[in-house]
Amino acid sequence: MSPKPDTPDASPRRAYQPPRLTRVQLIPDEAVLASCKNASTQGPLGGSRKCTGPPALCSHSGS
Amino acid sequence: MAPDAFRPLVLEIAGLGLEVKPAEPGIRLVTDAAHQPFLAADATGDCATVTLAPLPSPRPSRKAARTVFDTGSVWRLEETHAGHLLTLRSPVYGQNPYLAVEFDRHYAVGAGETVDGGPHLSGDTMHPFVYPFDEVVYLARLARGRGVLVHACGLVHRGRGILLLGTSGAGKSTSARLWADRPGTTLLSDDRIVIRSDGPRPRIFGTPWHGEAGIESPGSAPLHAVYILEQAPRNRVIDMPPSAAVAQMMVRSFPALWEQEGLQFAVQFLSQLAEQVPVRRLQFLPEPSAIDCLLASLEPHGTDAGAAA
Repeated sequence: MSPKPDTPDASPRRAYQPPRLTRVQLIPDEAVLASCKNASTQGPLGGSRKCTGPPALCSHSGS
Repeated sequence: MAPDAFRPLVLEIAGLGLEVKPAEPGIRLVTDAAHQPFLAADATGDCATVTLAPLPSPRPSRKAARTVFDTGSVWRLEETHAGHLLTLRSPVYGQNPYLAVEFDRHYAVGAGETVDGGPHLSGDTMHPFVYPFDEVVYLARLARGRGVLVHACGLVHRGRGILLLGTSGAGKSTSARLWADRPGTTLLSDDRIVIRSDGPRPRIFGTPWHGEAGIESPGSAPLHAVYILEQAPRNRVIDMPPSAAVAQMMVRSFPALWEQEGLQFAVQFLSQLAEQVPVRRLQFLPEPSAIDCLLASLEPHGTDAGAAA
């Protein structure tokens, strides 16, 4: 039985880093395409019926 | 030859088509200025087709079963025998949808109705690409292995595609206005960008779904770097490990939240992207020096991590 060759580890493991929780603030309406983006995509009624004023197609304005 | 006012409209975004045809003759299709640069002459290649009929008044027009996804206010997906029923609603038109389109499972063919006097139809004028209809259809089609829609300002600087990812208020439109003054720059959108695979590098595409700066372009470019926007008291670029990069990109993307396959595809797609191009945090001031800081990080021997200007 031959002894194990004494070779240094070519790719040493990186130090363990515990998982880190990062909170990201989301606007739910925006995340699911439920907020108006701009008046130009509001169709024929867009000029008078924007998100920002009633009557609105939806209740929030996103960017 | 004079354009035919009654022909179908074909939208082409990121190489994907969406053709809309009226179900009845005599209906003229129109679109807003933002969508016009994205209109194609004909439906070719990877193109979905939707036929829309006028509906005299809001009423349930199609049978659906299980609700697949409901935004709670604007749009809803329900399962049908053939695929999905997409409905759009507004308090303005009561409880019933002002638009209902039934798609096959691949979102390749759709047929539906829209209320006369609603956002999509006024008399003999049909306005098919009203938010969020076209965007939801593209989102569903992208999720079927085609690409990912992200909340980002996208631009091309001297041939290199750059993405500035951010949710509302992060500074996408502000950044777009700053970059607009930078020579050698073409802005693709200040709010929505499509990313698709294209060989060794992903490719970014402009969309008509612009933000506050009102910037949209049908251009595209190979993606060279992604930056997560963070407003800060000074400019700084910070490298990110791929796992954090994927998480940060996911929350700034629009995956198909209603499908496990769609979510898995988005995670895999963005994981691959993070291996192909650098993804960094850009802490920035809303001034031109932020662009210099970013450009310094793009240089092959530049000061990548911690670059400041």
